[in-house]
Amino acid sequence: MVEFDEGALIERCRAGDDSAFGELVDRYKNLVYAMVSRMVSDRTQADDLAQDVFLKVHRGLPYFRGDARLSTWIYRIVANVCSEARARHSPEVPIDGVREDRPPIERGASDGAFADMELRDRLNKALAQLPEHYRFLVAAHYLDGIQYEALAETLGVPLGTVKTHLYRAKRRLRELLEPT
Amino acid sequence: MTCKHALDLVEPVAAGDLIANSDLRAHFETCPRCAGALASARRLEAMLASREAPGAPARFTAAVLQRIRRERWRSEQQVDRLFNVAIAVALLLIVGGIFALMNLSGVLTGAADTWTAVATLSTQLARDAAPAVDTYIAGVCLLITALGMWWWAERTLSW
Repeated sequence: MVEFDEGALIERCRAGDDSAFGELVDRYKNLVYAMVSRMVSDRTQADDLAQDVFLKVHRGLPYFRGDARLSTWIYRIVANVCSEARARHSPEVPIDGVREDRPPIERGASDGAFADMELRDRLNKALAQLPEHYRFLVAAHYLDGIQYEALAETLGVPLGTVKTHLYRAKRRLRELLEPT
Repeated sequence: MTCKHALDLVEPVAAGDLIANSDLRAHFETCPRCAGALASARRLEAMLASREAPGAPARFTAAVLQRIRRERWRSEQQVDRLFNVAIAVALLLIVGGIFALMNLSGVLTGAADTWTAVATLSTQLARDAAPAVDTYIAGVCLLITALGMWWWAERTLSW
């Protein structure tokens, strides 16, 4: 199996090789798209934001020093792009302060096959109430290949902090999803 | 093992990051509240792990590359515009400088009669052309329209 030479791909992109940048996009597009889709509810907005991520990657490549992995740097850009988009469309929630004024999500009528859809909808609504920082952690952590270490490197925080924040986020989600 | 301690460990246990020791396991087995919290946390883990992870649409890469090319074109247009402005300013400075030199050296004073003659000729030409001014205006409008269409076509083709 041929190992992926990240450095060579970056150099080709910096040299202005559009096909090399196309390869980079192909390599990361599904992961980026999945992360963005989990952060925003609107599919059209997710499409635009995912493209914005790669535009920023393209603009920033000449300045990418290589002291972090390319994937980590791209995840950081995803977090920033989603954060900016959310700031443009909704009021800010403090990083460590969950919105205590919001009541738990109410249960509607459940009926077999409809229950799953209702549960997913309730989960998405609960996730939307989390602070941006927690939403990004929850969105990213359950995607293939993104472990605690990658998140810690992306956010520039200790591993323990990532775990603590994820636990807090999930505790808050449980509180929001509890039946009234 | 208190409930407070056990509840603090619910998330790490449910995530598989912590293996419950015998005290903790015993507490979960005997305390319904903490056992319920652990069951709820495990259900949440399962839900989060099974969340949809949609892939990028079919023409995503092509769309990204097209936006990059468009951005590159816009950037080049901006450079061209700035260059044109710089050239125009330079030309104005040169013409202004020549005019000032001619004025200082007295050449313009001697050319005053020439300017008067040019002005008189221009006035005469304007009087002669006045009856057909509508035709001239229509011609100029057609020329501006043709130039505008050419500019629009060039811009569109550049994508």
